[in-house]
Amino acid sequence: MAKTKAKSKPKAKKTKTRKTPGLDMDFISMKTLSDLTVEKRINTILKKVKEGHMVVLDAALDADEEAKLVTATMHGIDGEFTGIEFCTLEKSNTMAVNVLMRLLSSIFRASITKPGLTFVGPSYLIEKIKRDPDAFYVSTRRKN
Amino acid sequence: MKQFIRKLRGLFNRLFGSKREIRLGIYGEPNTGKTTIANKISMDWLGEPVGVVSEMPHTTRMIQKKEHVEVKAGNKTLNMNLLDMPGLATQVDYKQFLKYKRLPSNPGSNVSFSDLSVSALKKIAKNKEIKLTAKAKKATILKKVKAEVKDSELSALAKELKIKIKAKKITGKYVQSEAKTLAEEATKAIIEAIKWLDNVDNVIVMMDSTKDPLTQVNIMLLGNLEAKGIPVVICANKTDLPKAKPAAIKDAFPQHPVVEISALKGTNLDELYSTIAGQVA
Repeated sequence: MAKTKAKSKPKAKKTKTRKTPGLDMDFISMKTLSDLTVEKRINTILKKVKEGHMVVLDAALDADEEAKLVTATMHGIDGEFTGIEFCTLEKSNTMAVNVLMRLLSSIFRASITKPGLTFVGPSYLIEKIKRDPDAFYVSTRRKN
Repeated sequence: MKQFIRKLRGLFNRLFGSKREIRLGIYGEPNTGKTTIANKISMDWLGEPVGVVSEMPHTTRMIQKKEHVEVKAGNKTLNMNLLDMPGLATQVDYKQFLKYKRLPSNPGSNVSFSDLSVSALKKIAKNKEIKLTAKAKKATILKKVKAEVKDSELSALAKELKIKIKAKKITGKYVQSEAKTLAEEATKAIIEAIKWLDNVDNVIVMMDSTKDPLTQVNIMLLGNLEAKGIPVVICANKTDLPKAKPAAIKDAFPQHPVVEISALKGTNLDELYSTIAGQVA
Protein backbone atom coordinates (compact mmCIF):
# COMPACT_ATOMS: atom_id res chain seq x y z
CA MET A 1 0.00 0.00 0.00
CA ALA A 2 1.44 3.17 -1.08
CA LYS A 3 1.89 5.59 1.65
CA THR A 4 0.30 8.91 1.17
CA LYS A 5 2.53 11.67 2.08
CA ALA A 6 0.87 13.88 4.61
CA LYS A 7 0.82 17.37 3.38
CA SER A 8 2.76 19.54 5.71
CA LYS A 9 1.18 22.79 6.61
CA PRO A 10 2.93 25.79 5.23
CA LYS A 11 5.13 27.15 7.95
CA ALA A 12 4.05 30.40 9.45
CA LYS A 13 6.51 33.10 8.73
CA LYS A 14 8.54 33.70 11.83
CA THR A 15 8.58 37.23 13.04
CA LYS A 16 12.10 38.11 13.90
CA THR A 17 12.59 39.63 17.29
CA ARG A 18 15.35 42.17 17.38
CA LYS A 19 18.23 40.62 19.18
CA THR A 20 20.99 42.79 17.85
CA PRO A 21 23.03 43.91 20.79
CA GLY A 22 22.46 47.56 21.34
CA LEU A 23 22.98 50.26 23.86
CA ASP A 24 20.34 51.62 26.17
CA MET A 25 20.81 55.26 26.87
CA ASP A 26 18.72 57.21 29.34
CA PHE A 27 18.77 60.98 29.04
CA ILE A 28 17.43 62.33 32.29
CA SER A 29 16.73 65.87 33.25
CA MET A 30 18.07 66.80 36.68
CA LYS A 31 14.69 68.42 37.29
CA THR A 32 13.12 64.98 37.69
CA LEU A 33 15.66 64.10 40.41
CA SER A 34 15.80 67.46 42.13
CA ASP A 35 13.21 66.53 44.76
CA LEU A 36 15.26 63.54 45.86
CA THR A 37 18.03 63.52 48.43
CA VAL A 38 21.58 63.09 47.08
CA GLU A 39 21.61 59.46 48.21
CA LYS A 40 18.29 58.65 46.51
CA ARG A 41 19.39 60.50 43.39
CA ILE A 42 22.57 58.43 43.24
CA ASN A 43 20.67 55.20 43.89
CA THR A 44 18.30 56.03 41.02
CA ILE A 45 21.24 56.51 38.66
CA LEU A 46 23.00 53.38 39.88
CA LYS A 47 19.87 51.26 39.55
CA LYS A 48 19.68 52.12 35.85
CA VAL A 49 23.41 51.55 35.38
CA LYS A 50 23.15 48.12 37.03
CA GLU A 51 20.47 47.27 34.47
CA GLY A 52 23.04 47.97 31.77
CA HIS A 53 21.90 51.47 30.84
CA MET A 54 24.06 54.47 30.14
CA VAL A 55 22.74 57.49 31.97
CA VAL A 56 23.18 61.06 30.80
CA LEU A 57 22.16 63.91 33.09
CA ASP A 58 21.81 67.53 32.04
CA ALA A 59 23.82 68.74 35.04
CA ALA A 60 27.27 68.15 36.47
CA LEU A 61 27.54 66.29 39.76
CA ASP A 62 29.64 68.16 42.28
CA ALA A 63 32.77 66.68 43.87
CA ASP A 64 30.89 65.50 46.97
CA GLU A 65 28.19 63.83 44.87
CA GLU A 66 30.87 62.15 42.78
CA ALA A 67 32.52 60.76 45.91
CA LYS A 68 29.12 59.51 47.10
CA LEU A 69 28.51 57.93 43.69
CA VAL A 70 31.82 56.04 43.92
CA THR A 71 31.08 54.99 47.51
CA ALA A 72 27.60 53.71 46.57
CA THR A 73 29.11 51.90 43.57
CA MET A 74 31.65 50.16 45.79
CA HIS A 75 28.85 49.05 48.13
CA GLY A 76 27.01 47.57 45.13
CA ILE A 77 29.90 45.64 43.57
CA ASP A 78 29.44 41.88 43.45
CA GLY A 79 30.31 39.03 41.08
CA GLU A 80 28.14 40.50 38.31
CA PHE A 81 28.28 44.26 38.77
CA THR A 82 31.88 45.36 38.53
CA GLY A 83 31.48 49.10 38.81
CA ILE A 84 31.01 52.20 36.71
CA GLU A 85 32.77 54.59 34.43
CA PHE A 86 31.63 58.15 34.62
CA CYS A 87 32.47 61.61 33.47
CA THR A 88 31.25 65.04 34.36
CA LEU A 89 31.59 68.13 32.28
CA GLU A 90 31.04 71.33 34.12
CA LYS A 91 30.04 74.48 32.33
CA SER A 92 32.90 76.72 33.29
CA ASN A 93 31.79 79.55 35.49
CA THR A 94 33.72 82.52 36.65
CA MET A 95 35.55 82.17 39.95
CA ALA A 96 33.01 84.51 41.60
CA VAL A 97 30.07 82.34 40.50
CA ASN A 98 31.79 79.20 41.77
CA VAL A 99 32.51 80.77 45.16
CA LEU A 100 28.93 82.04 45.38
CA MET A 101 27.54 78.59 44.53
CA ARG A 102 29.74 76.91 47.14
CA LEU A 103 28.70 79.50 49.72
CA LEU A 104 25.00 79.07 48.99
CA SER A 105 25.41 75.31 49.03
CA SER A 106 27.05 75.37 52.47
CA ILE A 107 24.53 77.87 53.89
CA PHE A 108 21.47 75.95 52.73
CA ARG A 109 23.18 72.58 53.14
CA ALA A 110 21.77 71.53 49.83
CA SER A 111 23.39 70.67 46.57
CA ILE A 112 22.86 73.28 43.91
CA THR A 113 22.50 71.95 40.41
CA LYS A 114 25.64 72.77 38.47
CA PRO A 115 25.14 73.44 34.78
CA GLY A 116 26.91 70.85 32.71
CA LEU A 117 26.68 67.19 31.85
CA THR A 118 27.14 63.88 33.63
CA PHE A 119 27.59 60.53 31.96
CA VAL A 120 27.49 57.28 33.95
CA GLY A 121 27.68 53.79 32.51
CA PRO A 122 28.47 50.23 33.58
CA SER A 123 32.21 49.57 33.44
CA TYR A 124 31.77 46.29 31.55
CA LEU A 125 30.27 48.22 28.62
CA ILE A 126 32.67 51.11 28.52
CA GLU A 127 36.05 50.56 27.04
CA LYS A 128 37.46 54.01 27.43
CA ILE A 129 36.54 57.59 28.18
CA LYS A 130 38.90 60.09 26.64
CA ARG A 131 38.59 63.48 28.12
CA ASP A 132 39.45 66.98 27.03
CA PRO A 133 38.87 70.02 29.19
CA ASP A 134 35.68 70.82 27.25
CA ALA A 135 34.57 67.46 25.85
CA PHE A 136 34.68 63.73 26.45
CA TYR A 137 34.55 60.77 24.08
CA VAL A 138 33.14 57.41 25.11
CA SER A 139 34.14 54.13 23.45
CA THR A 140 31.86 51.22 24.27
CA ARG A 141 32.03 47.44 24.02
CA ARG A 142 29.23 45.39 22.50
CA LYS A 143 26.66 43.90 24.86
CA ASN A 144 26.76 40.10 25.02
CA MET B 1 33.15 74.97 58.87
CA LYS B 2 35.80 72.23 58.83
CA GLN B 3 37.89 74.39 56.54
CA PHE B 4 37.56 77.29 58.98
CA ILE B 5 38.59 75.11 61.95
CA ARG B 6 41.56 73.80 59.96
CA LYS B 7 42.72 77.34 59.17
CA LEU B 8 42.20 78.44 62.78
CA ARG B 9 44.26 75.51 64.02
CA GLY B 10 47.03 76.39 61.54
CA LEU B 11 47.03 80.00 62.72
CA PHE B 12 47.15 78.90 66.38
CA ASN B 13 50.09 76.62 65.68
CA ARG B 14 51.96 79.36 63.88
CA LEU B 15 51.34 81.86 66.69
CA PHE B 16 52.26 79.58 69.54
CA GLY B 17 54.77 77.43 67.68
CA SER B 18 53.28 74.10 68.68
CA LYS B 19 55.00 71.11 67.09
CA ARG B 20 51.95 69.75 65.35
CA GLU B 21 52.05 66.52 63.45
CA ILE B 22 50.27 66.70 60.13
CA ARG B 23 48.34 63.78 58.76
CA LEU B 24 49.73 63.42 55.26
CA GLY B 25 47.52 61.28 53.07
CA ILE B 26 48.93 59.73 49.91
CA TYR B 27 46.09 59.35 47.43
CA GLY B 28 45.76 58.41 43.78
CA GLU B 29 44.62 55.77 41.37
CA PRO B 30 45.91 52.19 41.68
CA ASN B 31 49.48 51.59 40.53
CA THR B 32 50.56 55.21 40.62
CA GLY B 33 53.29 54.58 43.20
CA LYS B 34 51.61 55.51 46.50
CA THR B 35 53.18 52.71 48.51
CA THR B 36 56.51 53.17 46.71
CA ILE B 37 56.73 56.82 47.79
CA ALA B 38 55.45 55.98 51.31
CA ASN B 39 58.13 53.29 51.60
CA LYS B 40 60.80 55.65 50.29
CA ILE B 41 59.91 58.38 52.81
CA SER B 42 59.58 55.91 55.66
CA MET B 43 62.80 54.05 54.82
CA ASP B 44 64.74 57.33 54.52
CA TRP B 45 63.54 58.78 57.81
CA LEU B 46 62.43 55.82 59.94
CA GLY B 47 64.36 52.96 58.41
CA GLU B 48 61.31 50.75 57.95
CA PRO B 49 58.90 50.20 55.05
CA VAL B 50 55.17 50.92 55.05
CA GLY B 51 53.82 48.19 52.84
CA VAL B 52 54.19 45.72 50.03
CA VAL B 53 54.60 47.01 46.46
CA SER B 54 53.51 44.99 43.45
CA GLU B 55 52.26 45.33 39.89
CA MET B 56 48.85 44.05 40.91
CA PRO B 57 46.33 46.86 41.34
CA HIS B 58 44.77 47.18 44.80
CA THR B 59 47.76 45.59 46.53
CA THR B 60 47.15 48.07 49.34
CA ARG B 61 43.72 47.17 50.67
CA MET B 62 43.88 48.86 54.02
CA ILE B 63 45.13 52.26 55.12
CA GLN B 64 48.76 51.86 56.14
CA LYS B 65 50.10 54.29 58.72
CA LYS B 66 53.54 55.31 59.83
CA GLU B 67 53.47 57.61 62.80
CA HIS B 68 55.94 60.24 63.98
CA VAL B 69 57.89 60.60 60.75
CA GLU B 70 60.25 63.56 61.05
CA VAL B 71 61.44 64.88 57.71
CA LYS B 72 63.97 67.66 57.17
CA ALA B 73 62.92 70.05 54.46
CA GLY B 74 65.64 72.68 54.06
CA ASN B 75 65.78 74.51 57.38
CA LYS B 76 62.33 73.28 58.40
CA THR B 77 61.24 70.06 60.03
CA LEU B 78 58.07 68.30 58.98
CA ASN B 79 56.46 66.14 61.63
CA MET B 80 53.92 63.86 60.11
CA ASN B 81 51.83 60.76 60.29
CA LEU B 82 52.12 59.13 56.91
CA LEU B 83 48.94 57.57 55.56
CA ASP B 84 49.32 55.33 52.53
CA MET B 85 45.84 55.07 51.06
CA PRO B 86 44.37 52.29 48.92
CA GLY B 87 44.08 53.22 45.25
CA LEU B 88 40.87 54.97 44.27
CA ALA B 89 38.86 53.46 41.42
CA THR B 90 35.31 53.39 40.11
CA GLN B 91 35.39 49.70 39.26
CA VAL B 92 36.77 46.53 40.82
CA ASP B 93 36.46 43.31 38.83
CA TYR B 94 37.56 40.21 40.72
CA LYS B 95 38.66 38.64 37.41
CA GLN B 96 41.56 41.09 37.15
CA PHE B 97 43.24 39.39 40.13
CA LEU B 98 43.19 35.94 38.52
CA LYS B 99 46.17 36.74 36.30
CA TYR B 100 48.44 37.69 39.18
CA LYS B 101 50.59 35.49 41.34
CA ARG B 102 49.76 35.38 45.02
CA LEU B 103 51.63 37.93 47.05
CA PRO B 104 53.28 37.02 50.33
CA SER B 105 51.33 38.52 53.20
CA ASN B 106 52.83 41.66 54.66
CA PRO B 107 54.92 40.37 57.57
CA GLY B 108 53.33 41.44 60.80
CA SER B 109 50.11 42.69 59.20
CA ASN B 110 47.96 39.75 60.21
CA VAL B 111 49.75 37.68 62.84
CA SER B 112 48.27 34.40 63.96
CA PHE B 113 49.37 32.29 66.94
CA SER B 114 50.85 29.68 64.59
CA ASP B 115 53.33 32.31 63.29
CA LEU B 116 54.92 32.71 66.73
CA SER B 117 58.08 31.00 67.93
CA VAL B 118 58.63 29.87 71.54
CA SER B 119 60.72 32.95 72.29
CA ALA B 120 58.01 35.21 70.84
CA LEU B 121 55.35 33.47 72.93
CA LYS B 122 57.53 33.88 76.04
CA LYS B 123 57.94 37.57 75.25
CA ILE B 124 54.15 37.97 75.10
CA ALA B 125 53.70 35.93 78.27
CA LYS B 126 56.17 38.19 80.06
CA ASN B 127 54.38 41.29 78.81
CA LYS B 128 51.02 39.93 79.96
CA GLU B 129 52.53 38.75 83.28
CA ILE B 130 51.60 35.14 82.61
CA LYS B 131 53.46 32.81 84.96
CA LEU B 132 55.41 30.08 83.23
CA THR B 133 57.67 27.37 84.55
CA ALA B 134 61.23 27.27 83.26
CA LYS B 135 60.63 23.99 81.44
CA ALA B 136 57.24 24.88 79.97
CA LYS B 137 56.72 23.46 76.46
CA LYS B 138 55.46 25.42 73.46
CA ALA B 139 51.97 23.87 73.63
CA THR B 140 51.57 24.87 77.28
CA ILE B 141 52.83 28.42 76.70
CA LEU B 142 50.56 28.75 73.66
CA LYS B 143 47.52 27.62 75.66
CA LYS B 144 48.21 30.12 78.43
CA VAL B 145 48.90 32.97 76.01
CA LYS B 146 45.76 32.19 74.01
CA ALA B 147 43.73 32.43 77.21
CA GLU B 148 44.99 35.97 77.80
CA VAL B 149 45.41 37.41 74.31
CA LYS B 150 42.67 37.72 71.72
CA ASP B 151 43.37 36.98 68.03
CA SER B 152 42.42 40.55 67.13
CA GLU B 153 45.01 42.12 69.42
CA LEU B 154 47.86 39.79 68.47
CA SER B 155 49.17 41.80 65.49
CA ALA B 156 49.33 45.03 67.48
CA LEU B 157 50.98 43.28 70.42
CA ALA B 158 53.58 41.63 68.17
CA LYS B 159 54.34 45.02 66.67
CA GLU B 160 54.58 46.67 70.10
CA LEU B 161 56.97 44.00 71.38
CA LYS B 162 58.96 44.15 68.12
CA ILE B 163 58.45 40.46 67.44
CA LYS B 164 59.72 39.60 63.97
CA ILE B 165 57.38 37.52 61.84
CA LYS B 166 58.67 35.76 58.75
CA ALA B 167 56.65 36.28 55.56
CA LYS B 168 54.84 33.13 54.50
CA LYS B 169 55.92 31.69 51.18
CA ILE B 170 52.93 31.25 48.92
CA THR B 171 53.15 30.47 45.21
CA GLY B 172 50.81 30.17 42.24
CA LYS B 173 48.12 32.45 40.86
CA TYR B 174 45.04 33.54 42.74
CA VAL B 175 42.03 31.25 42.41
CA GLN B 176 38.48 32.55 41.98
CA SER B 177 37.51 32.48 45.67
CA GLU B 178 40.69 34.35 46.63
CA ALA B 179 40.16 36.87 43.82
CA LYS B 180 36.62 37.53 45.04
CA THR B 181 37.92 38.12 48.56
CA LEU B 182 40.55 40.52 47.20
CA ALA B 183 37.88 42.40 45.24
CA GLU B 184 35.69 42.66 48.33
CA GLU B 185 38.61 43.98 50.36
CA ALA B 186 39.48 46.45 47.59
CA THR B 187 35.94 47.89 47.48
CA LYS B 188 35.90 48.32 51.27
CA ALA B 189 39.32 49.96 51.10
CA ILE B 190 38.13 52.50 48.53
CA ILE B 191 35.16 53.42 50.73
CA GLU B 192 37.51 53.83 53.69
CA ALA B 193 39.96 55.97 51.70
CA ILE B 194 37.13 58.29 50.61
CA LYS B 195 35.95 58.61 54.23
CA TRP B 196 39.47 59.57 55.29
CA LEU B 197 39.38 62.64 53.06
CA ASP B 198 37.77 64.34 56.06
CA ASN B 199 40.66 63.39 58.37
CA VAL B 200 43.79 64.39 56.50
CA ASP B 201 45.59 67.74 56.78
CA ASN B 202 47.69 67.61 53.62
CA VAL B 203 47.58 65.35 50.62
CA ILE B 204 50.01 64.07 48.03
CA VAL B 205 48.13 63.05 44.89
CA MET B 206 50.17 60.51 42.98
CA MET B 207 49.81 60.44 39.21
CA ASP B 208 51.50 58.18 36.71
CA SER B 209 53.16 60.56 34.26
CA THR B 210 53.16 57.90 31.52
CA LYS B 211 49.36 57.97 31.47
CA ASP B 212 46.61 60.47 30.71
CA PRO B 213 46.07 62.48 33.93
CA LEU B 214 42.59 63.69 32.97
CA THR B 215 40.71 60.81 34.55
CA GLN B 216 37.48 61.17 36.46
CA VAL B 217 39.09 59.71 39.60
CA ASN B 218 41.78 62.42 39.59
CA ILE B 219 39.20 65.11 38.90
CA MET B 220 36.89 63.81 41.65
CA LEU B 221 39.77 63.55 44.12
CA LEU B 222 41.11 67.04 43.45
CA GLY B 223 37.58 68.48 43.44
CA ASN B 224 36.91 67.04 46.89
CA LEU B 225 40.24 68.26 48.28
CA GLU B 226 39.64 71.74 46.87
CA ALA B 227 36.12 71.84 48.35
CA LYS B 228 37.48 70.81 51.76
CA GLY B 229 40.35 73.31 51.55
CA ILE B 230 43.03 70.66 51.98
CA PRO B 231 46.45 71.63 50.55
CA VAL B 232 47.53 69.36 47.70
CA VAL B 233 50.82 68.52 46.06
CA ILE B 234 50.60 66.50 42.87
CA CYS B 235 53.47 64.10 42.28
CA ALA B 236 54.09 63.42 38.61
CA ASN B 237 55.61 60.01 39.26
CA LYS B 238 57.56 57.54 37.12
CA THR B 239 59.62 60.25 35.43
CA ASP B 240 62.40 57.68 35.06
CA LEU B 241 60.36 55.98 32.32
CA PRO B 242 60.91 57.08 28.69
CA LYS B 243 57.16 57.57 28.06
CA ALA B 244 56.79 59.98 30.98
CA LYS B 245 55.08 63.29 30.18
CA PRO B 246 54.96 65.25 33.43
CA ALA B 247 54.12 68.41 31.47
CA ALA B 248 50.70 66.90 30.66
CA ILE B 249 49.93 66.78 34.40
CA LYS B 250 51.02 70.40 34.84
CA ASP B 251 48.79 71.42 31.93
CA ALA B 252 45.82 69.45 33.25
CA PHE B 253 45.96 70.80 36.81
CA PRO B 254 47.62 74.22 36.72
CA GLN B 255 45.93 75.24 39.98
CA HIS B 256 48.11 72.84 42.05
CA PRO B 257 51.87 72.52 42.55
CA VAL B 258 53.25 69.61 40.55
CA VAL B 259 56.53 67.98 41.56
CA GLU B 260 58.21 65.66 39.07
CA ILE B 261 59.56 62.62 40.88
CA SER B 262 60.58 59.03 40.53
CA ALA B 263 59.46 57.32 43.73
CA LEU B 264 61.32 54.21 42.67
CA LYS B 265 64.66 55.98 42.21
CA GLY B 266 63.98 58.54 44.94
CA THR B 267 64.63 61.53 42.68
CA ASN B 268 63.51 65.07 43.48
CA LEU B 269 62.12 64.19 46.91
CA ASP B 270 63.72 67.28 48.47
CA GLU B 271 61.53 69.46 46.26
CA LEU B 272 58.51 67.44 47.37
CA TYR B 273 59.37 67.93 51.06
CA SER B 274 59.92 71.68 50.62
CA THR B 275 56.62 72.06 48.75
CA ILE B 276 54.74 70.28 51.54
CA ALA B 277 56.64 72.28 54.19
CA GLY B 278 55.67 75.49 52.39
CA GLN B 279 52.01 74.48 52.56
CA VAL B 280 52.19 73.56 56.23
CA ALA B 281 53.77 76.88 57.12
